[in-house]
Amino acid sequence: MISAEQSWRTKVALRLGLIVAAAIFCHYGFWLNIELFDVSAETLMLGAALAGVMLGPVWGAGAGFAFGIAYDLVAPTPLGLGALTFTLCSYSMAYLSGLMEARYWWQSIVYGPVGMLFCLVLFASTGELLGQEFLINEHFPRVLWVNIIYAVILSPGMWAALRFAVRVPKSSFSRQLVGIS
Amino acid sequence: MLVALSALLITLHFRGDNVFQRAEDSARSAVSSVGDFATVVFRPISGAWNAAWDYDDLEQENEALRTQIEKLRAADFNERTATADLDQLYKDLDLTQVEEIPRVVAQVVVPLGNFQSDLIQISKGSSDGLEVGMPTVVASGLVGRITEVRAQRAFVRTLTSADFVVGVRFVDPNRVDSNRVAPAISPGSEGILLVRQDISLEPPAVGTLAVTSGLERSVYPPGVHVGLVTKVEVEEGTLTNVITITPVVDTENLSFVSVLDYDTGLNQ
Repeated sequence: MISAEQSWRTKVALRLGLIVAAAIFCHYGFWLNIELFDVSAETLMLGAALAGVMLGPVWGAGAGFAFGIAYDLVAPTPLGLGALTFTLCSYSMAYLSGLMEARYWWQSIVYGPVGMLFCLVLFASTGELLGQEFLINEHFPRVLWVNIIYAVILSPGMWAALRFAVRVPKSSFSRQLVGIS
Repeated sequence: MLVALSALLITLHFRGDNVFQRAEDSARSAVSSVGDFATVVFRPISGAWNAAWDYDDLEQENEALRTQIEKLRAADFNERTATADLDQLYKDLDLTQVEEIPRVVAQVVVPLGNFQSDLIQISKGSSDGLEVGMPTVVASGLVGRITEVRAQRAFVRTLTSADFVVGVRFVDPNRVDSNRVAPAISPGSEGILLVRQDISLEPPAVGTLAVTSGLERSVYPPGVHVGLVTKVEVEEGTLTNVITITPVVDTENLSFVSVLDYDTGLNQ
């Protein structure tokens, strides 16, 4: 027999999978095809960063890994680079958010840009160490600051989507069953 | 565990394992198909966005193209005469023209995202007979050569990439001593090419065409257009002329390329 907590966890996993798939679809269909100051939005990096904040280190790292693999399958970088750096970014953001509890949507406007900046720098510098010399070039500073703007705009939406994935049961009885006070 | 799995993927990528490469290619193709579908779904919105932001750029580009068309019309008449003379010369000397070399036409896969590799990805691979080292051209001139081949795709290192070297000769129809072979060309900064030549040799005039030398065992066939000489200056402290060449091919805006099945003689 499946316990209430197991059932809730399964639902979270399914909803999270749906959100990751939707984010990937929107990233490749829309965000990669529009540019602001010749820079496109790194929405998958933003997703990985906020997943860490919203879902904690374990689930967040899993979501970060999924975002990273999806990123790797289009980027001209070695397969695994995005997965590695996005996972580390999610985990680090989960640790950071543990120091300051994330409760309100407006906190995403702080966490999003910080996570995006961290993820971009980690991805590019790790790539450089692996011989991908085109990642940090004269265009890179612009990629950073334009993506901070993107992150400020897009973070609340991504935050709301991730919150939907981990939303807790409404009744107090169910909340007690899954161990949420 | 996820970090270890990521590290394993990177290791397998760099090891170039065949099974892993095939799996990676299949996954990339699948994601690419989903991406194409998603692009079609979102096209009205992304089209409106780009139209709003890029309108000024399009106007400027349109103006530049009109000017270029006028110049090309003027050059067309001179070129027709020159082509006939060149054909006759090739026949007389029993040389192979680039147009006669068997080729595979491939589509350039337009890169997405903020991180662009200096390699061009094309839509044909080893299953189409492509091999590492094959020269890649377009109608106007040399693009580069293939450096990596997968089953369904290949990567071309362009002539403006770091470490790219090609032997050239200068062709100046107004000079008796044209067709001189120059030292190897190498990339400079911002998409230009540099040739360093001993100061005792007379440098080519600005506007001279540089073509591949095609010397024995060269990877590239002779006579493929490389670029135009735009500056010649003496390098301080050394006895060399530095000749700046601007490539004739804009490698950042390509749609199709031809991969030449050119026998370099290196395998014999």
